[in-house]
Amino acid sequence: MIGIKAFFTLLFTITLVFLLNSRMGSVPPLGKFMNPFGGFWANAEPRNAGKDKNLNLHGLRGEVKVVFDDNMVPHIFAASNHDLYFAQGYVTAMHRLWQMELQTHFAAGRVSEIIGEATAEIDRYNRRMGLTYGAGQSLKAMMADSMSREVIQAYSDGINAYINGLSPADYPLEYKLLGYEPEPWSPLKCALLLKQMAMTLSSGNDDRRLTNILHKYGYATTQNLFPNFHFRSEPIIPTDAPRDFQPVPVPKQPENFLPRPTDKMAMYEPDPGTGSNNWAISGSKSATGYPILANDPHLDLTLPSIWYQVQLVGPDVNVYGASLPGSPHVISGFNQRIAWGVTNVGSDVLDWYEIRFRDAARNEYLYDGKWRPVRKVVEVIKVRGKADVADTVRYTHHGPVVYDEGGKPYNANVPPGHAMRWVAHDSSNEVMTFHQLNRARNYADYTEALTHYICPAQNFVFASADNDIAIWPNGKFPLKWKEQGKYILDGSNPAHEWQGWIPQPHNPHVKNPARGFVSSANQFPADTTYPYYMDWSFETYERGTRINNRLAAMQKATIDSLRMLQNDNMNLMARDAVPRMLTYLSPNQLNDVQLKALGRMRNWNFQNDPQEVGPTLFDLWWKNMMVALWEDDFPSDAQYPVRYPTRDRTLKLILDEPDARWVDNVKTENKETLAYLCTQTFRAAVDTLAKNGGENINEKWQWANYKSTYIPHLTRQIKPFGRYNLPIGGGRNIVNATSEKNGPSWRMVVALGPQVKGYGVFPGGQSGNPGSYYYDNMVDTWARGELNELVFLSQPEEENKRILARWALKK
Amino acid sequence: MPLFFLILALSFVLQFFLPWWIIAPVAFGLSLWKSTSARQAFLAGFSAIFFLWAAMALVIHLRNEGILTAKIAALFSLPFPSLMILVTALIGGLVGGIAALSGFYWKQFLKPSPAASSMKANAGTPVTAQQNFTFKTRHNKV
Repeated sequence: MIGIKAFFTLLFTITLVFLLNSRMGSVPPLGKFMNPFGGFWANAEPRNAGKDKNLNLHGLRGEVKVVFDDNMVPHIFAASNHDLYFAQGYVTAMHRLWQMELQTHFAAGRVSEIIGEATAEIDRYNRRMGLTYGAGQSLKAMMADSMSREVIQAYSDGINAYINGLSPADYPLEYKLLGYEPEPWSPLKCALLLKQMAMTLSSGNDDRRLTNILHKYGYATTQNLFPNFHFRSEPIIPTDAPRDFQPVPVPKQPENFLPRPTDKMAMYEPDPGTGSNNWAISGSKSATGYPILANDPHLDLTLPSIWYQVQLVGPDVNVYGASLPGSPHVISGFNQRIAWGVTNVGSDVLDWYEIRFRDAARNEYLYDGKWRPVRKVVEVIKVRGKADVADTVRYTHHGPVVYDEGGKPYNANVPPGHAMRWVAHDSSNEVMTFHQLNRARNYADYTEALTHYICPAQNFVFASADNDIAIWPNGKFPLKWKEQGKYILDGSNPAHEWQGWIPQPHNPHVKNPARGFVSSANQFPADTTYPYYMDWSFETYERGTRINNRLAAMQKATIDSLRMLQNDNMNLMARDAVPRMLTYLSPNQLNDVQLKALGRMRNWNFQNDPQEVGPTLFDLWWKNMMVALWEDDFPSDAQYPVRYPTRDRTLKLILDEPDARWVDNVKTENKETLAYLCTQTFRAAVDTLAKNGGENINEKWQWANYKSTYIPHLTRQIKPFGRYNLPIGGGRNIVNATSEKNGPSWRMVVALGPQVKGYGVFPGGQSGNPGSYYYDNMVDTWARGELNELVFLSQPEEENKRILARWALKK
Repeated sequence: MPLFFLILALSFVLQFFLPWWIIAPVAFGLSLWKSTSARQAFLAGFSAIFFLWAAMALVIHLRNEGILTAKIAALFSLPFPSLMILVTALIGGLVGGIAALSGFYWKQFLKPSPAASSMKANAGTPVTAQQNFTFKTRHNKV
């Protein structure tokens, strides 16, 4: 009897321990996870965790001082560049290891190793897009240059020094929750991270959708609805800026080619809110007589934050700004002499080529009248808890065949494929640009730094203490015939290939323009007289025009003037469209609630302020209007996917073309008019809001509540690790570009002068640990539209009451 | 009482180096040595780990100003963040208690046969202090 008890209690103990040490589906191992010595409790950091410390790190060559300020920003002081980037890697990993690894796993198509089957398709897609292939190309270039090799290697060694010092109890919380372990970092991961940015910022294209539209409506109509310049757009480079180069000849447009329509289009499409603002005013417009520069890149907002603030002080550099965890240097920032910032260019650097395979085996494709072999790469995706998934990707000389099928096969047995040509696959060394920008002292240094930059192309805004301001939409741009790549290209015709590059000095640029400011908001880089074709579509006019109007009016501007402009909530589309739409609206067809709403609409000052009801009404009214105008002609569920014309084209139709054929709904027998559509869509908008928010127009109708901005955890799954319902105005296509989950991921304003002064904030915190006070301590400051004064030190011993801790890293 | 303190102290020290489940062998082994009854063994094992984990979690919770407790409690759909401390302590306590109980039964089972046979006669009832003493004496001589 006692033997049985002894045996069973022991068995029970062992089973219990085993169960509490095992994952059950998505539930972490409860005993392991909850134990306060190594489970999640070990990640609950005391707020004052950063007391003075000495650390010995294998791999350092000398002593490094790291000073942490009250926002937990590290200020790193090193005697050599090797130690500087080693320490940047170490400290960044200390705060952001899990995020750095997950983002690079994502780019490499390896998330399924952690998550399982649910992400296998995303992994497959990223592999077919060839991100790892592109990262490998870039890695070769980075490692071929002795400077970038040393930086990347030191940065990676620093990250690994941190990883090697970890015991399982020290792992970032998400490893414990998801049940896996960090792997060693490698220089390839730095390259992958930059390719991930390229994917977010330079992979957008409409080639396939526009090709389908071309099939449906012909060239003239397509050209009319999807023209090569935007209504009311003010290009980044002012029209009167002098041109300082002699254009090179552009390849001749080959004979017409009508690509097949394509029906399958499961592809990543970047968030339409992804964009950015930057500008600089010259000393003539500022109170101090020195330039002031501002930058706010708009990205999908996530926690941990996309950016990591850092000050890097080495033998030839003292720079402060926002870095990307996983990449050395500062990406948007300032030093004693200059400041710079980036917004996305978004030009067309990704084109699709229709591939004619020889037979169903798809081992050969037609090119220049001959059959060429494809190169096959077998991608093996490891899936947690399941068998590996193997996927064969065929590479043509254009690039990978991302889609193996789709469209009507030109031969019943041989479906066509579409190969992708993308600048992000080319060898590049962006590290060089940032290395030099971090050290730049003047305009000449800045332009030299830009010559190394390839992808994703950025509008680099610049200001210096020498009183220069400038902007260069910069990157490696294919030299195209007009509209090359607007539609799918012929992969068998050499004339359809990219035949060169816009010479880098010919990239659009302007220095010290007469108007006293430079700016960009992702709009057309240059006007229609610019000799090279970059794309048919950029961001529409609203943000760019609003910024230019306000900057033009500014005199004796201060840091605060620019901060206020970053928070500008003027809804330009509403200002331009609503007065006309109201003239079409028939009040006698509205019920009580709709009439009340109309009153609110009429009294709205077109500011997307948090408590206003106007922006809510307009948002829904405009969305309904877009659907009413275009859905019948460009249905969302078409067999061959299409897209609506752009917002600005819609505005032009409402203002100037009330009788356009598109106004009529082709699916009804009646002939619809713009007046009818305006009234119907307004009624529908109010009815929807009344249904969700109640018939008395209350706080649920207010813009901030309706928009409900949130910052999710990077996984998008772990809700308590995100921040929700932030009280903030603005919105898509507003200068304050805060939409539901996309917006200013970093806001910076820098006043140049004898002593540079920087201000900045991002919607999150320095730490990536959800158990840290510094995980999201800047969110409220950000949501209020305020900036923190940035601590810019010249000595590690410098007295500053905002310093929390001083660490010494020794070899 | 000594069993409680022994389990508490040894678990506290060893958990800084070893995986969490070391609490099970600790409670089992110390109970094998020090337990006097099934009830005493279970209570000592349970309360020692319960107390240890609760105290650790509480200290961490307070120093962290409850930031992470609230998030993890929300993740596990607990209505109050502080329940997280209780859940933590209960899980640890349960392992400690069961392991200690098993330790006691094994102690009975491994006893020299006369005592063991006498145990078989009144299985499930607490052992007497006398029996426990003989075991200890024998053990100490080894």
